Amino acid sequence: MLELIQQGFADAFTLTNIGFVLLGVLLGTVIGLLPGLGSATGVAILLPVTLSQEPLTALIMLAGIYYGSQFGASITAILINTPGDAASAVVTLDGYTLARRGRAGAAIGISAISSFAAGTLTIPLLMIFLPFLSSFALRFGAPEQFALALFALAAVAGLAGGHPARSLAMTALGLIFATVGLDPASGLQRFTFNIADLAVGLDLVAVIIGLFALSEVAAQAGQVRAASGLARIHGLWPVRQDLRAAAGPIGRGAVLGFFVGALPGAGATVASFMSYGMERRISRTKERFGKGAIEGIAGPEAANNSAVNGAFAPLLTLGVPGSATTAVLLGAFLIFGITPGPLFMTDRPEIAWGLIASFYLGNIALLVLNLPMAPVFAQILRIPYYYLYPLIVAIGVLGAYATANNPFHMWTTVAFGLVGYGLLKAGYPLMPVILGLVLGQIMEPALTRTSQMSGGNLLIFLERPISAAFIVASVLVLVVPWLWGMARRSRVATPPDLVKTLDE
Amino acid sequence: MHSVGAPPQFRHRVVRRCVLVLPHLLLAAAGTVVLLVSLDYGWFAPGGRTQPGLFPGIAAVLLIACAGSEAVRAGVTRRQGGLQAGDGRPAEPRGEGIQERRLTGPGGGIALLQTPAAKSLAVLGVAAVIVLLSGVLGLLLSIAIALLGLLVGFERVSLLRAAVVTALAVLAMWLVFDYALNVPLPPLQLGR
Repeated sequence: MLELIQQGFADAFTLTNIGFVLLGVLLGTVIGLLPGLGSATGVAILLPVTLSQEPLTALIMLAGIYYGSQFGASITAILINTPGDAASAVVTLDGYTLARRGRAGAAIGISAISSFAAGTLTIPLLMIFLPFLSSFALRFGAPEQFALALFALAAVAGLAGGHPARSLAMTALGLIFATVGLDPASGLQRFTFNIADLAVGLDLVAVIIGLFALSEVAAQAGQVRAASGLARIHGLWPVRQDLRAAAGPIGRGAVLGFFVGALPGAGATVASFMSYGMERRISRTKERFGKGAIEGIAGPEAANNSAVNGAFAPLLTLGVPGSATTAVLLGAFLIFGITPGPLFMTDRPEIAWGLIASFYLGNIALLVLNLPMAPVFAQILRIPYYYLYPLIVAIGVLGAYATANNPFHMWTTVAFGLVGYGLLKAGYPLMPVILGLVLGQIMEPALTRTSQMSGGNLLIFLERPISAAFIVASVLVLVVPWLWGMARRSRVATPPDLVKTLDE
Repeated sequence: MHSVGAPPQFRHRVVRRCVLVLPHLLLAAAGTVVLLVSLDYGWFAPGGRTQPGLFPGIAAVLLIACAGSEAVRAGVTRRQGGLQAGDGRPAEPRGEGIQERRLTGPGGGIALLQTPAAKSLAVLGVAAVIVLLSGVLGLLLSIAIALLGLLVGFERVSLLRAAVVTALAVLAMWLVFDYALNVPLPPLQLGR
């Protein structure tokens, strides 16, 4: 295995790949800076730019975009108190307070150092974890695949917060979208309305651009705030006292984030909020949290970045994405003719280990490129939004076309932009739609194969230990948070404030 | 019935409640349509094996149940509807150091378009116009017209500034997609 790892590093550390990872981190940071446009949108919009590259180079660039957009979102959270995406929301609590005190540079510096340290520390964890998970996944048959995907969907609804019923409704909608096109078993055309382009199903990238980019831009176009009070950035290198305060939270956040990120549905948002709650709980000076505590930035940022690494574990070994961004990445893998799953590490070791080695590149790029350039990135936040959103709309439509040079994909994007805008306005989360769409394409063939191998006996799911365990876990992950919420509501008479909620 | 002779406040509440319930009902209705179509595809074959309708059918039942329960919740509880905390969107900023931007650009703008909903729908409409025009005018020219229209018509940016921004944006898109990536963008069809 050492040879494969060495080869991976040799493949990743070429001049071309280094150039593309730097470009990816740079572009990802710019996308991440724009409020509301998270890493999933960034990867989806920029996916067409990678299509002319070799698969490894393209995937390395996309991973760079993923890292960059997470960091960009944190800059926005610290400087203008508006998180670029949900995962960086918790950073506003202490990051923005520090920025208002004239320490925006230190806050951004701690954010970058925490991200770098956590990302670098957890890559070896990923390297150890992947072969074990792959060999475990080799025991999976169709029933286990179905049950695992079911667990991932249940986890999205159960762990993502908000309203579980709405998350479940959106998961169901995504599953319905997954059935558009030819039925995998019978070849029957379903929900195609005699449109030839729909026979092959909905294009994932076009759907994502519509749901995330177009609908979000439409929702924000009418109510956008400009960063007129943008905090000034002085001295990006934190003082020694800051670094000492950040060391513990970075270590704890890194480990917590990695394992939470590996859970389908939990992802970086849950990881960063959990890390903040944990740091506040174990702190001797809880009262500093929310008032500019370095630990309140270091822990969540470390968790946020290591969750990105963790999210690659189920994606690469099980072929199951745990978040919207990894769902887009799965789409990218498939576009390049690569199918992640139990055999991925053995069949395509050059891609697998090259990609993992490139994570080091991405993390280094974050530190050496993004940290010194943070003041430059901050200037992007001064550009009025009315110049930016027409460009995002245009690039989105162009990107949807460019993934397959098919004009129909542009219509798909516009239609899903409208659907996404309506759902946002009605208070429905959009991430489960994407996971439903992606996982539905795994679940239905698995269900059909299970039905064929068992002669129609669906109790087979409970007769096989691994699939039964996943089914039980799916029920638990849905029921336990609900019961927990009921118990809490009966105990707490008044709604707690955000910091108290984080504590819990 | 209730609305005849009812006080305006009560009528307003009923209308508001209907607006809150409507999106959930629409979703449940969509689920019902999918369920009916799935029954047509068939759920199980005589031997117990699955048929093409089973998977979308189960998903439709789930959608109807969840959207239906949300409709009931929106209909009977006071604090409902709209986007709420924890729905997976970033938290709203709390204000300090941030100034609400005018809904329109430098020059003010048309009053009707100042409503957020109209502006949002206009953005989606412009995206549709790009796609519609691209078959005739080509994609880049359609994008140029749409960008110029949005900046000048909706955002009241000066024509010169809008033209410069549009030209630079379209040039960048041409460089990336056509020149560097060799994407065969839909060309101008007019006059061919």
